[in-house]
Amino acid sequence: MKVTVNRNHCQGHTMCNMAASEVFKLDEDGNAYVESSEVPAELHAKAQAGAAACPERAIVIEEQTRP
Amino acid sequence: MTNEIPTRNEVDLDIHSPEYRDGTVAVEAEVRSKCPVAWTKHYDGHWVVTSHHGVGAGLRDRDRYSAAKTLDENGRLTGGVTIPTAETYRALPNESDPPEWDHYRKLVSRPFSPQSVEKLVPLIEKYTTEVIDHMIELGEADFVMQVGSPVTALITLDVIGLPLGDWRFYAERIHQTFTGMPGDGSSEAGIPGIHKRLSETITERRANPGKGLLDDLIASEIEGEPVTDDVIKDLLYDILIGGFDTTAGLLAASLKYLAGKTEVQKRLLEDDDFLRTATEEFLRWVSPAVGLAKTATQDIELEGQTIPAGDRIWFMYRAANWDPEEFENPETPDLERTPNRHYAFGAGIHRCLGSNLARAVFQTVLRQFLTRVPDYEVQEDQLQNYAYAATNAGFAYFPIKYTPGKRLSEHPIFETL
Ligand code: HEM
Ligand code: SF4
Repeated sequence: MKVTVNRNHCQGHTMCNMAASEVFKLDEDGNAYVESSEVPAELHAKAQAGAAACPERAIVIEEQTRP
Repeated sequence: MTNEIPTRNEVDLDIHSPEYRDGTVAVEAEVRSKCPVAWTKHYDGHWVVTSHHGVGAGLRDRDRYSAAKTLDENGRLTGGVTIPTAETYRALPNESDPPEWDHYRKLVSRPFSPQSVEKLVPLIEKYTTEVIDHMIELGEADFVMQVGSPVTALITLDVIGLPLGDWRFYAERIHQTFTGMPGDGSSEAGIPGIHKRLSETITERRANPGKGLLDDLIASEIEGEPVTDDVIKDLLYDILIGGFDTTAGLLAASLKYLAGKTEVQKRLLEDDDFLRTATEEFLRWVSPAVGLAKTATQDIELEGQTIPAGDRIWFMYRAANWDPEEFENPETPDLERTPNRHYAFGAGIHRCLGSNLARAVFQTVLRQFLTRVPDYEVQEDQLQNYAYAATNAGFAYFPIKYTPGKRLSEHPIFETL
């Protein structure tokens, strides 16, 4: 699973971080970022919850198809 | 040549009518069910957006609307975030557009970031203890002006670096803007005083620098030019006017809901995760900011409707927050609601600067108040809502009664508050 935060859309609501602090970190201005866009399997559900929590729809999740 | 008149759904909504003031969410639900993006003829005509999707999508479209006030070809003030356009003062960054907005917002954002606010929590706790100390022996109080507003005011003045002793000067005038009626002068009466006091303090601080956001602003530049006193004043004004009554109103409405619900209160005090989701749900359910305006600068497609450039748009945060398409049983608080994509703090670039501070103040005050004043009763028969309900939901007067308790702090900051 590939997770990215669209920094042009993120307005720092911090809702993603409240839902999944393991995946979504906040920078000094309160905007979200991911340390690595590759999210391990055990955090997939969390990443999805974080994305669903974002009022700006700023989080993009791409399910990767297996090679 | 024929002028093509675009089809549009019309509703008969006067946002300043007594019917809307008294009907609130029921009126909003009716408008939303007719059409989420509708035209109303009142106040020279404007759009009203009531759906969750419409409010979010519209406000995220940063390049197609303006929040700034300008003079039209007849020299009349137009635009801004109120309908009708308020002839008073400018609030920044709220009433500016990119690229100026980007500069203004950057100047004030750092002290209100999640990291900065986390460091402020001990200070918020200290002010909360102090403020409750001043009312706890009395047995009755107005929660808004004796608890909610002063705590928010003290921490905000502290961050800015304004004299704490001025809290009442600012808080009473700000409360008046929300409780008075715009247009007849009673709402606007205190605003010139706020601006005058801010200007005087800024001048004084240029001569004798202190420590706070105000001093950082004095030392800052926009594209190589020093920031003017006028801009500093308008930035500080926005921070003051945006926070006090909104945060106090959120607290008061939540306490009204929680009165007598001892099990829920207990859980709020013991379970931090529950307190966190409850905070978001109270924000959604109460929606202290009810609606504000923008002006289309280009044609906007919203919910299948074309809003032509130049038209005024009233975005209704509370209506969005009560949209059953997004929130199941929106009228019933579900303190564990997840996800909770509410727009209580707005959306898009103007999304509330103080959201992290407001949440921290809310949680700190709620914890201490429920612990120290557990048997509070709201005097519902004497409650007074704001007289004017289109932009904000809150209380002009929120009397409570309780068993008097003891002061906690041995070294009060103020003799009297
Ligand atoms: C529960 C409390 C609060 C609520 C419900 C609230 C709500 C809002 C809303 C809805 C907006 C968007 C306005 C728009 O779209 O034009 C906003 C903006 C703003 N708020 Fe708050 N607010 C609260 C507390 C605060 C606090 C404590 C501060 C103080 C730091 C603050 C300062 C501001 C400022 C400066 C803006 C303008 C931001 C910009 O234009 O970039 N607010 N607020
Ligand atoms: S919830 Fe969305 S807007 Fe808010 S910080 Fe996370 S990504 Fe940004």
